[in-house]
Amino acid sequence: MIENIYDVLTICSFGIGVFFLLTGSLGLLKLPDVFSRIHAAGMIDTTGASFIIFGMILQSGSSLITAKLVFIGIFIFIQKK
Amino acid sequence: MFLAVLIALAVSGLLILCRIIIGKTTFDRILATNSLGTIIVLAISVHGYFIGRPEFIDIAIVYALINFIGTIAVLSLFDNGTLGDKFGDKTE
Repeated sequence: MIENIYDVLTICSFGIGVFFLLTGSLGLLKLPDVFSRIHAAGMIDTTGASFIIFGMILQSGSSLITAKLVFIGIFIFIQKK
Repeated sequence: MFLAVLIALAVSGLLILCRIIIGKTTFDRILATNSLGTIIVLAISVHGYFIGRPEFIDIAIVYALINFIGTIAVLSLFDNGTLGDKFGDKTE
């Protein structure tokens, strides 16, 4: 039962993340200006990556993999200054 | 579930690759390459879960660090004309 709740939360988190990833990449392709495209790329690197990493953290439970996923999230975040 | 995320990551990567190919200015290409690196890091992690071996996350960590250093290096080269070494420095 508790794993079922984790699966549902993972699917919700993946859905939100995939939505922001597709929106950001479409905006990166179609927006008219350089600064607008920077806005769209920030959409990918913050919200999309965060929600997908959060979904994988929910799947991995509490182990070393969780710490590594948190490190990946920090590394993706700090390269956006 | 993981397969759907992988397909979405592939579509997103193709759209970003179109922007890298079109890319009107250098900043567009640097920005899109950085985003493609993020997409690839996420794809390596999700692929590890998809085939049932999440140990692929180590490779994703290394790829994220190389992506970060590479973006900083290209921006430094674009800004200064050198990578910070004394051999390529033309000011002195």
